Parts: sequence; structure tokens; C-alpha cells
Amino acid sequence: MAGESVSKSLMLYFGPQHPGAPGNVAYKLWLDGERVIDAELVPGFLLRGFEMMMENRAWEMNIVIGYRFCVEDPDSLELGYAEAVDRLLKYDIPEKAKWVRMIQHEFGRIASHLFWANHMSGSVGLRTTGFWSIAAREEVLKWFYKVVGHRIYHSFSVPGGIRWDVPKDFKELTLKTADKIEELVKDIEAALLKNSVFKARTKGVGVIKGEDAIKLGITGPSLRAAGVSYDIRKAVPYENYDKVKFDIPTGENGDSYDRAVVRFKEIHQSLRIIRQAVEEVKPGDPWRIKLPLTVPPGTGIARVEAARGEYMIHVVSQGGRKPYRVRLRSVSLPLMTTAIKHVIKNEEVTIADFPVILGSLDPCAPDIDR
Amino acid sequence: MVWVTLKKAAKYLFRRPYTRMVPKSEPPFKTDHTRGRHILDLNKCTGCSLCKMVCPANAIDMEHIEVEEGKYPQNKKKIFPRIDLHKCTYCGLCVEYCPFSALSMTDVTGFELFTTDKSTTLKHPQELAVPPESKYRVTITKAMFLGVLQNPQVKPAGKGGSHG
Amino acid sequence: MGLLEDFVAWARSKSMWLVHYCAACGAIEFPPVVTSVLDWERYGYMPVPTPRQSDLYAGMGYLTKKSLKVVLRLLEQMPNPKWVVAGCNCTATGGLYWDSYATYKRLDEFMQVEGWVPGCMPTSDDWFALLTYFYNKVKERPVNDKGSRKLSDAWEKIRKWEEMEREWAEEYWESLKKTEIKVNYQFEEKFPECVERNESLKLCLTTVEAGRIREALKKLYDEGYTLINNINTVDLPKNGVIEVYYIVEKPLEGDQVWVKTYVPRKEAEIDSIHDIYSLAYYIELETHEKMGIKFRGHPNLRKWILEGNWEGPPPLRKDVDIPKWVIKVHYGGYAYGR
Ligand code: SF4
Ligand code: SF4
Ligand code: SF4
Repeated sequence: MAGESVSKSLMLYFGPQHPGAPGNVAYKLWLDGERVIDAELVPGFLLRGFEMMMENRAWEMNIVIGYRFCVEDPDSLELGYAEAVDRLLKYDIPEKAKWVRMIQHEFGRIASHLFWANHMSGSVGLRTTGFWSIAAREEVLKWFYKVVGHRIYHSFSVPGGIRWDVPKDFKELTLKTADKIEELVKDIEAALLKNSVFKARTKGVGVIKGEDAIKLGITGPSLRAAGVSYDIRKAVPYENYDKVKFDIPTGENGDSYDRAVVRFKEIHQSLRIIRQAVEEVKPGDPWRIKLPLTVPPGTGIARVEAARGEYMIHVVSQGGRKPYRVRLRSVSLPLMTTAIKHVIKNEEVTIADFPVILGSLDPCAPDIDR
Repeated sequence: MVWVTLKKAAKYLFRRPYTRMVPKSEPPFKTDHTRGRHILDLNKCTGCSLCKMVCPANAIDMEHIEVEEGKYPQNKKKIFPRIDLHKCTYCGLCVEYCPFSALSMTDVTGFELFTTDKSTTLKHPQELAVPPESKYRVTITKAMFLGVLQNPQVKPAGKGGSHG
Repeated sequence: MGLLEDFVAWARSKSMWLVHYCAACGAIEFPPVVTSVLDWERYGYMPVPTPRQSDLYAGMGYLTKKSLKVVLRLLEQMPNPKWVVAGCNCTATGGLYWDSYATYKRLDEFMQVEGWVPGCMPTSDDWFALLTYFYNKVKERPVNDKGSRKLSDAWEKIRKWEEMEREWAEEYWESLKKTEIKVNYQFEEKFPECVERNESLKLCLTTVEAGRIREALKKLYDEGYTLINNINTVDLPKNGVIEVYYIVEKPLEGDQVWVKTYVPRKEAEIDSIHDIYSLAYYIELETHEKMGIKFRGHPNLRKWILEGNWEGPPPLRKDVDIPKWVIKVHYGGYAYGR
């Protein structure tokens, strides 16, 4: 991609072993002095070949593997796979399972956003708020550990419902966790978003306007920060999202600062959804239906709003014990390729700004490679 | 101003430290559902191999063991699962799909399983049968998966997604 | 001298610096270890960005072939004494990704490893079993101990495996050329009408001949379907074709159109749409390497994600039996081994 205009420039290899890189990915940067003139993604450090591995495992075994696609936000994909298979079988799952799945999905989103807050604070040199975000995330992980028995990878939302019944003190536990997170997040927000260093590094930097963002293929918070209020949870409601009240936070300028603000607002909206959903989880209700071992031929599709944008899961069955084909959408691909190229073309991006802009887009490296 | 950050931070100066002092003064954090090392009940296992077939990590293989005459009559061929704890992903599918409730999981995790010799984590059936020390709990049992609606009055969901 | 040596060993044990390379999923449990949640600086551990100042490398999960080369180079740059430890099951045996074509299965095939933390993933607390062991161990080591070594034949092994993959790829394309593949696939162009609608998901499936795909997508783009969601492919060896789905959507309303078309397996070629949808440039790259479809008019069709990871035939094709190959090459033919 390096054309003639960049032939005199310096090529710098950025990553994969670099604290500013968002995970195990690399970039080739073409520099003119301090300024970045072109950036090209070098992926593949995290390739495992999920689509092939899922085609090699039976339907019920795939609940364990599908979501490992993106380690920062596994719950969205877990829900997506469960939904896709539910649709393929044309089953309606018990109400209680739907509510619990939603709570899991929202807690997953919060954990992902808080993990991003850590990375973002670190890349502008504000370690303090990073530490607080990890502490707030720890509260989410503890909730997961108590309810589903794992901290990161949960295998809890399965086709047909949820894996096992929630503990007796589920409601108190959830509300207490939500309160704790809210308290910490308020502090982080105040300390990070009002900080003048943070503002200077992010305001007016990395601007992607709404129309452009769509054409670049961006979804999720980065699109909403540009003023496009597009959220799958509202546009194409799944589970019980049409039965809860929540807003879609949007920004105006589409710069790094707005993206940060939108993510923090989203955490509050997620907490709002969790507080509504937990009221509907009644002890004693059924939580899972047994699914047949073999699945009839057909296609199942699920669209879920993950922490970074729209996941689309497409499963194809030709009968039998294993899926014939599984295809997943990579939400971070536009963020790491088209979006960052767009910013570099339109603005003067220096080498010091590059990690900050990339961080503010919150890409998840493994989901590009699969 | 950066003062806002400092002001908020000052509050935490006077709080109790958040740090868990593992392992000095606290054991590692575990819960009632922590998924860890398995226990095998040799008196229940029939050697049906279902756990082996359902394991997504290929961590289970069946192993023949020598036992005295008359022991474990339910298991004709005397084959029992051998679990590779260094391959297992601790998903609990083997517990869920075992039809005879022979497997369950405990909260013995990587903290206790830490080793300098990789061969110690390949657990043969006899080793799996030994319950861990009493301070560890049995966390995941087959009972948790019962209560699934077997013949549900499933109404076909209006939102079918089939085409192609 | 004894006293001085003791002092050096003691000082070493109190200042273990870990090279900051988060290679895989297990690394997500490290932030709690590093920050105030568990605070490993109690033991003098710390992450550092450069390998030249570090003493410790921790394998935190699956070793993709590309990452492993990075790890080997890091290890070469680290000063003595250097230590290698490993957590996560994929590092030790291949773990859940035993059938993956892109990972090596055991770290100790390439370097000496001091200790293992099993788990998938090990929790943050679990790592402290290793850290305390290490903390005590380093104190007892003689001062001139060099720690973990890279095995001398590490690069040799990698080269050998890559050669095997390349051979397989050649074989595959050769045999594909020789075999007769009949195309028996029913297809009728319906565009712009929907063949099937799904109201709740707001989907519309339509079909178009491969030759007219650009035309159809251009039309959809002008109608407001400006966001490209994905390009999906389904390989159907029985019918001799590969189905290709282009998924485009209209933001705000959320309407999606799935444009279905097909290409014959033997000469899998289709026009590139990277100038209509800019993101398609990258999705086409991925589809090309994994499914073996050529995109006519793509300016730079090459290996991208698979570069350095896989030299063999396109892994998503149905007649490429990857698990069998992996078991043969990496597990010595025994699928349940380690
Ligand atoms: S443990 Fe259970 S599933 Fe496995 S062989 Fe024994 S009875 Fe069968
Ligand atoms: S817990 Fe899961 S991975 Fe482990 S042995 Fe059982 S089925 Fe296999
Ligand atoms: S052992 Fe589990 S957590 Fe670790 S790299 Fe493998 S799949 Fe990921």
C-alpha cells in the first residue's frame, strides 16, 4: 500500500511487543519526521482458526469455544452463538433464561469498557484511573466467578437457556455489585474525563464523522460517538431488550474524547438494564430446555450488539452432530484498518498520538485474526 | 485541571487497601461454583465413554485399570476416564453429560495444581478417585444440570432464521 | 565471596522483571496481577517494555506460529539469567485448541520451562503459586546459573513443519487441478426481489449471478445500504461450488440484505468490490487466504492473516482435513495425547 509518496519516508515496525499496541498486533508505520503518513495492519499473531475448529466440534461442545474469539468481550459472542442455534431450532427459551442472559451480556459489556478504560488511561499516562478501572472490573469478574464459576470465559449462555440455575442470593449479589461498580465508575469518570491532560490528548483528535464512519464499516460506540444513534439492541431487539428502558448515548464530534464519553455513559445504561432485568428473575422458574442432539438442516443467524459493535453469527447446518459452517463478523477489523487510515489521511497524526487514537477506538486484536 | 484527578485520588488514600494479599495472609479467591479438578466415582462409572465424546479439548481418554475380582461390577470392561488437567478447559461438559453422575468438579484450581513437572497433571482414574483435602469443596455436580425441561411445550419461536 | 553471592541472589529474587508481551488470551488475567487487585510488586515483580531489561518471560496461552517466532527472538535478546515460565493449558499441551492449524502445541519443544500453572485460563490468584515458588527458587540458584535456555533445534523444527505444510499445499492444488468437478447447483437470479424475508431480524435474502455482483451491490449502495457487514462463504464440494454471501446493511433502521451468489470450486473467482465498500478490501483478503477465492481487480491480493502462520492449503475448504493433519504431525497420531 505504500505508494510513491511515501517511498522516501521511514518505515517503522510498531508492535507486537509494545505496551501501546492494543494487544498482540503490529503495524507498519510510514513516518515523515514525527508524522505518520500511512499505517498498515500486520495481523495474524493471534490466529487460531475458530471457524474451522467450530466445524470440527459438536453443537453442544461449541458453547465452550465460540466466544474465545474476543477475550475482552466474550459474553456477547456466547449469547450470539446461543441465539443463532435457538433460531435454527426455532425454539423459544424460558423467560428467566432470557433475563439472566441479558444480565450476563451487560456485565460483559461493562467489563470490556472498563478494560478499555485501563488501556486508555495508560496510554495517556494516567495510571491511577487505570488501576481503578481494573478494580471496578474485578467486581464484575467476582460476580461472574460466583454465578458461573469462571472469571473470563463463562460458557453459561447455551442454546436452550442458561447452564444452571442462578444462586439463591442472585438479586442481592447483582444489585450490590452494580452499586459498587457505579460508585467506582463515577470516580473514574470524574478523574479521567475532566482531567486536562486527557482532554488535551483527545479533544479534536481522531475525528471520524458520522457519514464517513458508516462507509468505513464502523459500528458500535465508535459510530455512536459520531452522532449516529444505531444500536442493534434497539434497531433489531433480541432477548428482552424491547421490554427494558434504556437510552442510546451518542456524541457529536466523533473524536477520541466523545468515544470515551459514550463508553462511560454506556456503562451507566448497562447498569440501568441490569437493575431492571434482575427484578424479573424469579426463583423457581424454569431456566433451560433440553435440545435434541442432532440439529435439522437450516440456517441460524444472530445479530448482537457487542461492546465494540455488531456481531453477526451465521451457522449453517446440514443435519447431524456438527455445524457445517460457522461464520462470525469481526467488529474490530474496520477500527484497525479503514478507520485508522481515514484518521491518518485527514489529520496530522504524530507517532505519539497514534496509540491514543487507536486506543480510543478500542479494537480487540484477537477478533481480527480469529 | 489535573486537580480533579488528585482530589478524587486523595479519597482513596484513607481507604482500606483493595489488594488481596494472596498467598501471604489470604487463600486464593474461590467461590461455590469454581470449576477445578474433577473427582471420579469409580463405583458409579460404567465406562460408557460419553464424557470422552463430549469433551471439546480431547482431554479425556478411557483407560483400562487392574482391579480385584468383583470390584466395580457395573463396569464390565474396567475402563475409566483419564483426564489431562493440562488440556482440559474446565467447562464441565463431562459432568453435565455423564449419565451416571460419576463425575463432579472441585475448587482445586491452578494454584494447587502448579507444577514444575508436566507429567503430574495427567490424572489417571485412580488418582481422580481420591477426593481432595477437606478444605476444598465439591462445586459442580450433576445435580445442578437436572431440572432441565425435558419435553417442553415449546412454541415455535416467531423469529425463525432459516433460509438457504 | 559467599556472602556477596548470597546478596546477588537475594537481590535478583527481589527484582524479577517480566517482559511485557501479552501473547494470548491468558494475558487478560494479568492486569489484576499487575495492578492494585493483587499487586505483585509486593514481590518485586514488574512488567517492562523491553526484553533487554527483563529477566522473565511468561507464556500466557496459545502459541501461534507467528507469535512463537517473536518469543524466540525476545528470548535471544534477554540477558542472562533469563527464565521462562508458563501458565494456561494451550502452552503446555495445545489445550482447547488442539486441532488448530495455527498454533504450536508445546512451549517446551522450543525452550526450557521452569514451571507450569494449569488452567484455562488460570485465575489471577493462581499465578501466585508460581510467583512465590519462583521467588524462593531464584534465591537458591547459584549466581552463574543461566536460567532457561532456548533449545538449539527450535528454529530447525519450525522450518521442518513449515516445509511439510508447503508440500501439502502443493499437493492439494495439484489434485484439485486433476479432478473433474461437476457443477450441479440450482440457482435462480431473483435480485432485487427477496427470496426470503425475516421480519424479526430485518433480513432479506436475494440472489444474483456472480457476474453481476458489482452491479447489484452498487445499486444497493445507492439505495442506502452503505455499511458492509461481512462476506460469508459456504463451501459445498458435493455441488462443486462455493456459495458467497455479501451482507450489507442500512444503519439506523438496521435492515440487512444478504446477496447470495456462487462460484465454481475449481476456478473460484469473483469481482472485487473494494472500491464500493472500502472495508471489503480486508474482508476479501481474509476470504482469499482462508477459502481460496480469487478476487478479480483486488489491488494487492496476498497472504495476510495466515502469513507466517500457515503455509498449507486454504483451511476452510471442506476437503482439507486439518484435524487429521494436526494429529498426525503434532500429536504423533494419538488424538487424546498431549
Ligand atoms: S464418567 Fe460417566 S460418562 Fe464417563 S465413562 Fe464413566 S459413566 Fe460414562
Ligand atoms: S471439564 Fe470440559 S474440557 Fe475438562 S475434561 Fe470435562 S469436558 Fe473436557
Ligand atoms: S488455555 Fe484457555 S485461556 Fe489459555 S490460551 Fe488456551 S484457550 Fe486461552
